Amino acid sequence: MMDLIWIILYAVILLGALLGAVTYAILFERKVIGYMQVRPGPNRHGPWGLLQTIADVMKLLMKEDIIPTAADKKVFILAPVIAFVPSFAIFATIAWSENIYGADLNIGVLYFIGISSITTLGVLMGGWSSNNKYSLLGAIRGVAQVISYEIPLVLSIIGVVILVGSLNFRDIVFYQQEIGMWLIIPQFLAFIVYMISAIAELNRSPFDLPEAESELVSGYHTEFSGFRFAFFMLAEYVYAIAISALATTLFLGGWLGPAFLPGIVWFLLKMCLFMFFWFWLRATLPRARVDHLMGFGWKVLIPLALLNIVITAIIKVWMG
Amino acid sequence: MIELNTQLVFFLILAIIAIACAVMVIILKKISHRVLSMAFCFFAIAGLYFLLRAEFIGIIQIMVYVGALSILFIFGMMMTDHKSVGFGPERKKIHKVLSFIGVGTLLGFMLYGILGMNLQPSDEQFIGSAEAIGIQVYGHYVIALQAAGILLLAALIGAIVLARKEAE
Repeated sequence: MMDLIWIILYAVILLGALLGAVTYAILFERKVIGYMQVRPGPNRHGPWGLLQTIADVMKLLMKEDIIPTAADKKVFILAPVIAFVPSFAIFATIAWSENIYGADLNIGVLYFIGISSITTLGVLMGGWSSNNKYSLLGAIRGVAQVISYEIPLVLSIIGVVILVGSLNFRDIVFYQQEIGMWLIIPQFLAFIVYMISAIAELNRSPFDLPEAESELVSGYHTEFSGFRFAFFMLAEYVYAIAISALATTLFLGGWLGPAFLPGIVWFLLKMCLFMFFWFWLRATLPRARVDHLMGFGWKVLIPLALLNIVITAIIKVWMG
Repeated sequence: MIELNTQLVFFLILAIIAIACAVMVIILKKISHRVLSMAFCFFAIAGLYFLLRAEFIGIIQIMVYVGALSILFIFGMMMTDHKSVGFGPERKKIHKVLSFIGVGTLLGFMLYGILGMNLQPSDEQFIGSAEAIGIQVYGHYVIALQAAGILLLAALIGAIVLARKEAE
């Protein structure tokens, strides 16, 4: 019974922390892009624009709740929830530091990948139930992209798993501590493949085709407004944070770092580095074309990821 | 009197969801709702695996059935015309009676088999871990695995050939 209370407490604290993190990630994104384009970014609400996102969220929550008449009502209501819940659930396995972690699952990496694939279902449901051609096209594009790029993403992780010999997040970090090297060095090829496919997986620029506003209005969530739209946005940003956390654990040694800061601070700093990287790309690169995107995923990234697995397996057997 | 512990409560919730969703697949009118309730049914079954401490099998259930198979079904649903397709007129009474007897017999056999099983309670913390399954599949059953791989490859090539022919 005590365990159950701890689990619930952990989940509630994590949810609160995530909501705060997403709020300020959005501000961070707008500020970063602002400075890169030589303008101040949001600066009206609160000092340095600190209350801007809170004001935006308040506006979204107070909007009229609109469900289109032609929409499939039940599915329409369910879709944002199904898109958001897995994005939150995957945080259960992340090990923030040596002592702060949720579930110490043996299959942590698999759990992360498996649960996050459910969001695709939410996106498809949203696009389908809106009964709108832009939404449907956006959803089909989005799902085709996510499914295609999930393969190189998972294959690039396999290189790490082969080296470590475990799917547990904490074991992966302990292994990096043991060999005294972050896995980004022996697994550099995997890291590159991981970063590129993660951007496509997150539907972020330059691969933000599912919501290309010049072609599709705004993709699968065109018909969503108010707090349902907020849920989709929330899911998107929570995934950006989750993928950063996964990259930190797999390639940058998780909570490892010089001892003058506690482990969790190192973890969060490394995550911020990845978040900055996503925003930086968004500010600099133009959008890719849909056929280029698919060709690149299947003809370049997957062979590279497979090559990495073969090389890693040979090295692993060779080293014993 | 059965002790009402947390595990049993979760089992009952998951089992009820699984059965209710399986029934909904049959009785719902719209095909999109049916596919969705099927996905929920798979998900509840994955939850049952987790409850049985077979977490690897549970997560594979989610990845393959919820993440891949349901999406495939939804794509099939989107790409095909299904509005005009029905299941034909109401069946005759004799059909209903026969199918009821058939299902009843199957249930009887399954109950007989399940109740007759003699399972030892195991103290292992994890059942069917990734390592154990890996050693079995790539050790003892490696030929069967290769054969399955070749079969899938043949199916894949066949699908591509058919699709190319239609495109041209």
